[in-house]
Amino acid sequence: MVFKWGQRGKSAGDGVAEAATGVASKWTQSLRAMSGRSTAGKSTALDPLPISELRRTVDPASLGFKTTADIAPIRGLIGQERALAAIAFGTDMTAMDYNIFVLGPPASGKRTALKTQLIEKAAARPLPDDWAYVYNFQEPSRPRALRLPPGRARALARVMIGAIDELRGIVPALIEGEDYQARRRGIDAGFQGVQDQALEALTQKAAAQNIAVLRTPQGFALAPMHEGKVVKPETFNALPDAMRTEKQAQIASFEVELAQILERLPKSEKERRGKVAELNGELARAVVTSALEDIATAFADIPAVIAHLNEAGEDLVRNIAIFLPGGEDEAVAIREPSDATRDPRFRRYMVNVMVGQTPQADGSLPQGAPVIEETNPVYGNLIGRIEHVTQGGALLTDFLLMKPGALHRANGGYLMVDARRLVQSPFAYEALKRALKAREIRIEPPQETAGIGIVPQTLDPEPMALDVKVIMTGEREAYYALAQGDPDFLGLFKVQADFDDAIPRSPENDRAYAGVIASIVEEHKLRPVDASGVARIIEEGARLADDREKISVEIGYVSDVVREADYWARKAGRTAIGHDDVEAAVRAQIQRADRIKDQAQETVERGVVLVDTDGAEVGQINGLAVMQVGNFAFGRPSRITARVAIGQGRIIDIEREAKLGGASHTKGMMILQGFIAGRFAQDMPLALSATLTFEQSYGGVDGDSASSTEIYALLSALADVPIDQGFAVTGSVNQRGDVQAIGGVNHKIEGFYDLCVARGLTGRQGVLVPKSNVQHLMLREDIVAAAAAGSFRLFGVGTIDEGIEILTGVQAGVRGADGTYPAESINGRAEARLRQYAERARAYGRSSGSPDGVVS
Amino acid sequence: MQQRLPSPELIHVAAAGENSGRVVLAARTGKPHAAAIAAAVTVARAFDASVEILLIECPDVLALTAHSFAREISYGGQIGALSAPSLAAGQSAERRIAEKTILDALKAAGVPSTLTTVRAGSLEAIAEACRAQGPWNIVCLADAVGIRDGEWLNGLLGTVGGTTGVVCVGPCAKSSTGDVVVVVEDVERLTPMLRAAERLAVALARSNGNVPVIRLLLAGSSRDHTGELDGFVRLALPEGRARGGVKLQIEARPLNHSTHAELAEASRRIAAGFVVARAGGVAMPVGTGGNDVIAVLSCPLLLVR
Repeated sequence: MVFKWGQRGKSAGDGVAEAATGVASKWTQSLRAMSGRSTAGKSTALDPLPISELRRTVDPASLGFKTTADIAPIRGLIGQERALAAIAFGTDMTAMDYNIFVLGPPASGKRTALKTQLIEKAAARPLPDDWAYVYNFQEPSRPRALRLPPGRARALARVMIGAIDELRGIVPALIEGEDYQARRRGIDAGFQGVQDQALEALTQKAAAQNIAVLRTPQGFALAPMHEGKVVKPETFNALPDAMRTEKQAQIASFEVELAQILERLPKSEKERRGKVAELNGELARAVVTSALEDIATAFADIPAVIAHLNEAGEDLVRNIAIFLPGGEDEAVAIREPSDATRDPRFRRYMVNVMVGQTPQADGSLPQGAPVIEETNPVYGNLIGRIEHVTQGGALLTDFLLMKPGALHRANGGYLMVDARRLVQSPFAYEALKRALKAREIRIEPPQETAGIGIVPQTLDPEPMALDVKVIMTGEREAYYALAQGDPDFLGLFKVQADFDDAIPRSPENDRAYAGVIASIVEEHKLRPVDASGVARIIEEGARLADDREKISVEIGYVSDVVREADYWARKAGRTAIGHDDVEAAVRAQIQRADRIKDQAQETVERGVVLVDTDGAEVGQINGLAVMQVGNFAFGRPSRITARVAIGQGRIIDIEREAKLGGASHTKGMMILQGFIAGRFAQDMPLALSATLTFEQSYGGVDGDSASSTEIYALLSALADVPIDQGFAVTGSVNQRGDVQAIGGVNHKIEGFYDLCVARGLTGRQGVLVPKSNVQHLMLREDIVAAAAAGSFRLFGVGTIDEGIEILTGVQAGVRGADGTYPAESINGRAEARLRQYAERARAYGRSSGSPDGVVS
Repeated sequence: MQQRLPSPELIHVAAAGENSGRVVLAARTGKPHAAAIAAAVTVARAFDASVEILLIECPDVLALTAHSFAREISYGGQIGALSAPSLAAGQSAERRIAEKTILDALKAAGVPSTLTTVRAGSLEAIAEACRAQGPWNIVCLADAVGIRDGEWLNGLLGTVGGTTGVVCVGPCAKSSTGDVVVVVEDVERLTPMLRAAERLAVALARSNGNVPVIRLLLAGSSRDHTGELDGFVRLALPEGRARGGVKLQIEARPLNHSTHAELAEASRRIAAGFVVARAGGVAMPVGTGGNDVIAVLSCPLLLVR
């Protein structure tokens, strides 16, 4: 949690405070009495701001309706003509590099409005073509991309399944048929008979010569036989030599003959297979042609489909056996009416529809280009992915496992994507840029594109042509970060549609705001909001904008308020949401989030953190900071003190020295130093050593909105004039002493007011704000009431001199013709102190031997 | 050509009303056929029998290695030396493979079994096993039967006593749980064949969850003979329900004995789970020519004596 003394970057504009009139107020009189100072330097301090400047209210009667039920809802954006014109321009530009970045605050309704506008645009554009992936019979690892007219891809996928189903039924039936079986038997019997008969004949011929053919584990062996039994070796060896020699010769002869028969078996089998293949091919060509010819006719206008059908047909003819029962399991699989798309044998004939228009109930195709919003733009969701299945521990894939991404679905139309999520998704942003540059979608595993990791077996599918308009949405910071950090970004996203945070207040915009509220009521089916409720919501919108001249377009927040107000209205038994319900909703929101605020205030109330709200002190003043906890902001007072001494013109920023100060705060301190030097050190050296600090601040300080406060503390210390502690101050300052606008003015005022209320309002308390911030005042109703009762005051201050007069009750003083300030004025007293310091420093320098008389 | 075997004085196991029998599963090679083992399981279940596995090693082959001239002709047609150690190792490997294949299948089917390895002539080994355990044995041949086995099969049926039938499969057989086809060629053996078929049909139906069906395929030697068989069968066995809830269908089908494959084709078309036929009849391997039923039959065949 860091104090934020933020400088509002807006133009300050002219003061809006009414001309100050009247005399110094009662509190100023008291202050003078307390400080014991002369009233010779009489203050010309400003009067408190009039009540009308503290909050811009809406008169319910001016809205012109009783409840939101009486007005037409407005679903689009209001007051965002510049952004909408940019979107219109970007969507009209057909060039691929004219993509759009919609930047603006979150929850502003820009996404909904953008989508509405895109849908309108898309409706006038043609329905994009279908895309599908099919098996590449020439190069299986490179699936072929088919582009088809709208509605044809799913039809092709359907008819291909039908064709395969037809073949699954027809082919086995034909194979079972008498004609095929007879021809097949003829082939088998011919070959088998030849082989077996040859062996059988040899066996019988050998047996006739008393030679047995015996089977061995590896083949056959021949042996002498007698009366059907193999002759034992000892018996055989007992035979006469001539007889043995003759028998051995016979056996050798049969062995050669048997070897020749067996040698012929593989050739014969090959020949048999060839004959069977011929038969199958003849049958296959007839049935495949029959199954595919209707498809070819239906898709004759798409040459790529015809080419694919030709290849698929040839492959089917070659592999017609996949439709036949090859084994017991396979036989079961064939008989069962399983889904052809799941059967691995038929997958390569299927069609993977990546983008396919589906006919509506009446059979017609939908109209218009797609508008796709990818809410989770990780790589796979954006570019598409190749999925895998595990088989035997290995990861396998095929073209049917390719899944489309948002780019596929948006092809020919518009793709909306959140910039922050896109950039945070590894590889996704780079992949999107590649696709936009190349004008094609190429599905690759992300680790392959990055060249890292181990890539499992994968595919290299043909790319699909891309024609898409990408609309990135995001906060301004995201846009500027991309513009600065990515050299490709501005080249690809040439159109920026910048949504304002707030729109100007005007009767027209007030009524438009009511229309937006009516759309929220309608969308969420809530009670209607009456005019008083709408008026209060508009006021809350202005407060959210931190500017009473504007209304916030954070529709998400407004929607929350309306829905929560509906809850309170229901609890109160009201039929319409009124002012009190909105007020209750806003208060309840604050109450739910303000625990930290209460804790912070409690530390001040209990004296742990020292902040006075009464009395007067020299060199001490109440500054104001804004603390942000989540989406809840609140103001917190903090004591700033200044001490002065003789020195070398150095003003020490204790925050910076302690490394607790930010760059903006340091800048503010340097401006302060310039202001002091410019005002007082024209004819004497600035022999000043001053220290400034935020007391009890340990978490760091940034922003320059306390720079005016610090000058007041320093002037008080130099002039030795006390500052009324009933005041808190905010505002930055320039070197000329002009008080400049800051941010969070309402929160800051409310933070100090709440502390004063807790301690008891004295009637002298109040806050000094830059005059240029008066236009931003949209204070809580209770503060306005307190101001109206004179219990609390706000001052719009244009210069340091105006401010110091209010804070001290002493005239700031204007340098006269003699070049001096009035002696009793703040400036006169401060200058006198500085002159005193300079003389003492010179005197000290002389006495210490310094040649130039300067204190070293 | 038909071969008519002398009618043995043997009461068929089913006809005898016995509730249990014995199945001898004889393996002559190291390549038992899956359909043959499945058929043995079906038969064992049908007759509530255990299976005695008989692994037979031919002693002649080993003896042959003692001949100095003995050589081996491989299936690829290469002629090489025949050494006793390599032959013994090969036979041992074959035996182990066969043993594991059969035991695993029977264990998976939950059929009790015993295993015996014998080194003897196959006919002698089976005859001895049947003699020891007969008379109600059914012999299942674990190896596919080819046309060259016709003579051996005739020898088995002719010489091995104590068996009521032989179950064999051809090289094209697949295990199936379809209907049981009974090939009726005469009326003498109809009853025992039908009783065996009933048990097989019930066992098969238990596997597929269907109603057990027996299809009577009337295969007379001529059209007239088939007509006679048809009349007799329809008179004796009303079409419809047989015993034990088995559904009976009768089909008069004069087979042309010159094309035995017609029976195989008919069995294939009706996806038969078993064919029961008379030994020596139309389905009997004849051992010559190329037209044996067994060579093309797609289911097991029970040849009833």
